Amino acid sequence: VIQIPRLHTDSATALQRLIGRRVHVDGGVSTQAHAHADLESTAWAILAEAADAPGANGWIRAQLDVGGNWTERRGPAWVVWQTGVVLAITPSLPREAARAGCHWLLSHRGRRLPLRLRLSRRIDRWRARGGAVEMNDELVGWSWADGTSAWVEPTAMAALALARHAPIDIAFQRGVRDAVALLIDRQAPDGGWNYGNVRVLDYDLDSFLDTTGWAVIGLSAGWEGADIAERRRLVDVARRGLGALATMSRSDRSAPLGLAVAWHACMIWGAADDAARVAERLRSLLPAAIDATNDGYPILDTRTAALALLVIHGRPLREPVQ
Amino acid sequence: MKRRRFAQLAASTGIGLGLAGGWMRWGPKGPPPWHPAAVRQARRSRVLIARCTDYDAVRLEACVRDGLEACGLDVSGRRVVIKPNFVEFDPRGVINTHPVLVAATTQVLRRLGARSVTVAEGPGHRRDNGYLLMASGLLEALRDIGAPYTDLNRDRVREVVARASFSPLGTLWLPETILDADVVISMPKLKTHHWAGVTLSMKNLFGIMPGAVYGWPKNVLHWAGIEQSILDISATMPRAPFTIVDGIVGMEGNGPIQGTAVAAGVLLFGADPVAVDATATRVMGLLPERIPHIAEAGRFHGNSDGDRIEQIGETIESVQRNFAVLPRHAQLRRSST
Repeated sequence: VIQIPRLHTDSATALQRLIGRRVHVDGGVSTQAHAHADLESTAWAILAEAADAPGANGWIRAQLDVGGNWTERRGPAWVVWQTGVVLAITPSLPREAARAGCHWLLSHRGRRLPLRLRLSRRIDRWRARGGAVEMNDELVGWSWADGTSAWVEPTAMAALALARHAPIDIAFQRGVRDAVALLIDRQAPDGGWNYGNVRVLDYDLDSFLDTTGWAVIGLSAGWEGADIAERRRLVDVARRGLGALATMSRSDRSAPLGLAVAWHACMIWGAADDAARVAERLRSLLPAAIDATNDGYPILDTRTAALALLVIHGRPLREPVQ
Repeated sequence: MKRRRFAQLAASTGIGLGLAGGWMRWGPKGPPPWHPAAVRQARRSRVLIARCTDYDAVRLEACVRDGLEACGLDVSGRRVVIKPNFVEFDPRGVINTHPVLVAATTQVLRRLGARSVTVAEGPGHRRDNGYLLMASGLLEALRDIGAPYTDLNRDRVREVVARASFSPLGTLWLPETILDADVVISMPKLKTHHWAGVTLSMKNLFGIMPGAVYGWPKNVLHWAGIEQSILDISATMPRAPFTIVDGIVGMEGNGPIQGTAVAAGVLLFGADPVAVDATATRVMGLLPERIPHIAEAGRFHGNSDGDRIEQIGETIESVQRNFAVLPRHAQLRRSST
């Protein structure tokens, strides 16, 4: 039995109120007060049970376009990353909407480099010459905006989305494999992840706490469809990621979002001791973060507040891998 | 063809690549790739170089007040937005505009009668604005003086037709905080940049582009071309931003993130971002005419030619430091031919 430290109930109430002030009359939820409602914030608010579920779910369904893409009406159509978020976390999505969304995701991946450039970079690697950015160009993940390169966070979200709805269509499992392969390729030497570049111009880049957490969570999406050898590989990669999370979360500069995501990653991969320590650190930061947010500073956006609420209630984003 | 090749190269890096230079020089046959409204070239542009060697708040306030007055910035009754550089944070480095300078400038602007002063940033590498604010010390600095902060990555946006077409973007989605401001103050760090050569006032404007639209990093702009996007964004700003460059401690080498600190001991001020960027580049011992976006902007958007810059305060020679650059930017050095 995993013992989850109880966070201060005052923090839970304050986080609920924070999100409650961002709920719009049409059911959507915004990232901050005085902002437009957005898909990501609304989906997180529903998951954390901090918004009226029927109203918020209705708002999310209203944003689905005929092609299966969730896109906000006030922004450009080529912004695509919210679809993965909605599919990954929104409770009670209608089956047909989920199917359409996952098929849309599969057909809207990150943009690959032209073949000529991929070949020249492969030759550079073969000659052991460092490239501008070192990564496996053959892998295809998911982007923030249509027609651009794949990055860690949207790829992790796509992995979670496709894995969640894999029972609907076996084709979704292949997308999960692709996403996990890209995440593994983008793991930094320190075991963590940043936005998605490991090494640039012969310099190793640093990892971030929040993106490392998302990548470790995203890896868990590959568990169900993996064979024994693949699971061993996933465990190895995830262990290194958890090690990086443990190191980064000890920093006195860690912040609520990174800590909350790290807690979910630890819980999903069975690192209960680390999860407890991360939760304790989050507990100590929340009162000041809530104060600053109430003063108008964007410390606890709706996503962060929802993730922290889930920590308080001991509800990891996914079932732990078995 | 050259444009497409550049976009491919930029995208291939995942971040972008600097230009070899020259391709943006449009031939005499076609129309120039900018709208008349983007032409802001005055006969002469004033740039002040002020010596300032530390981040003492009292001294900074005096220096900033003198700088704004010398350059004739009138903020009385106006809504001012300060855009510092908080693209990322590293406790070992000097990536960011110093929080004390941001706070000091806010205080000076208030005393000069600004109707409101808001600090705003849309960090390019990190979605976690809370982390950047807390870890960098900016939150503490702003709360101490009750200064508001806006996350431009998640601000309300409006689509605006671009006033230049160096990139294929056509329109830009800009944050309302920037569009509705009467005065924007671009407050970059004096840094080298591994792709663009230098990152100063114009490159700092990448940080106004909302991540919710352009991604983290803002990869839409990389595919469209870093240099080209810098020019289009700068040209499309409703008003030219006033610039204050934090060169008290700058960054050389592998900037803008992993470079080495340089105690350059200067602040630069000016109403023409092209002139300030060109001057700051010279202070770094580099040649602005070899920085493609500065050279191109000097054709229409502001003055990069030293003869058209009214230099006041310290002379360039008296404060010049030869900033180290990556080997790929060796051609930017004065001694290189």
